[in-house]
Amino acid sequence: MTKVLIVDDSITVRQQVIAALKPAGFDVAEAADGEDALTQLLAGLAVRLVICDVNMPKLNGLDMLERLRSEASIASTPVMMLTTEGQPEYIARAKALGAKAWMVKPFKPELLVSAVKKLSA
Amino acid sequence: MSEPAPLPPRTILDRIIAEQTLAQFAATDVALTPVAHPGTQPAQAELAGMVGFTSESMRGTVMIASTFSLFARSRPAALRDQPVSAYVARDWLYLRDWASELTNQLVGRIKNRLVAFGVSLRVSTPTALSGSALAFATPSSKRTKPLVFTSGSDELWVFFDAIIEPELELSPQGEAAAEEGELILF
Repeated sequence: MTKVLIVDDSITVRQQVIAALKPAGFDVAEAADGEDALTQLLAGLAVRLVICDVNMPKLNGLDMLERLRSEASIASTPVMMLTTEGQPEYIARAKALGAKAWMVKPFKPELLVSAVKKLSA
Repeated sequence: MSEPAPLPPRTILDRIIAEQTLAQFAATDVALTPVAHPGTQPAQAELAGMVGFTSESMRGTVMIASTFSLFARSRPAALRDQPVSAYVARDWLYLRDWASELTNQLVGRIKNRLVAFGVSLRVSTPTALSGSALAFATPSSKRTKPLVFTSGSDELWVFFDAIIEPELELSPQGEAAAEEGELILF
C-alpha cells in the first residue's frame, strides 16, 4: 500500500485528506506541523509523498520544505503543497525548493486523489 | 471625460469579504443570505475563528462567529456524516478546529483577491474559541461594520477589523493569485 504523509495543523483537514485517500488505496500518516513531520521522516517514516500545508505553527510548510531538502536522508522525498495561499511568490518559492505541486484549499477530493496518484507513482 | 473616482478601500474590502464569505460557505453546500441592517452583537454566537493579518498598508483581525449548528453543517462533505453533539465536549474541540480552518480558508480567499490589487497580506496561524454567549469588543477602527448572514435560523457574523493607512488605494494591478481548488503541477 502506498504511504503518504499529510502535514496540517487542522485535524479536520487531515481527516478530510484521509477520507479522500484511504478509499483510493493509500495509507496515510499524519503530522500536526512541519517540525512534527521532519521528526517523523528523520526517524525513518518512509512515504512516497508528503502533502503539506503552508501556514502552520512551529515550522511552516515552506520552511519545512527547505529543511527537508537540506537533510540528506530525506532530501529526495516528493512534496506537494496543500494550502489556502495562492500568492505567486509563495508558489515560486515552493517550486524553487523542488515541490512537485501546489493545490489551493478548499480542494475537490477527486482532484487530490488524481494528483496524489500521479505524484506518488 | 474624467476618470471616475476610485472606490474607497473599505468599500472594495467589504465587497470582497461578502463575495468570498458566500463562496466559502457555498463550497461546503451552505447557502447564506446577507442581512441588510444587522444589530451590533449576535443573538447567539457559540464558536468563533480568528486570524490576524498585517501588510504595509493595513493590519487587523478577521473573525467569524456563529452557532455550533452552522459550523457543524459547514464541514467538508466527506466529514458531515459524522454526528456531532453540543452535549459532547470533544465535539466542541473538533468544531473549534474547524472554525479555525474555516476562518483560515476565508482569509486565504480574501488574501488571494487582494493580490490583484497589489496588496500582500501576511497572516497569523488561526485560532478559535467557544462559549455560551460570545460578544465582541469594540472594533479597532470606527469604520468596521460586521457583515451578517443567515442560514435558516443560524446567523453568521464576519468582522474584518482593519486599521487602514490613509494612502492606501485599491486599484487592479494585473497580477492574479492561484484560485481555490486549483492544482498547479511543477
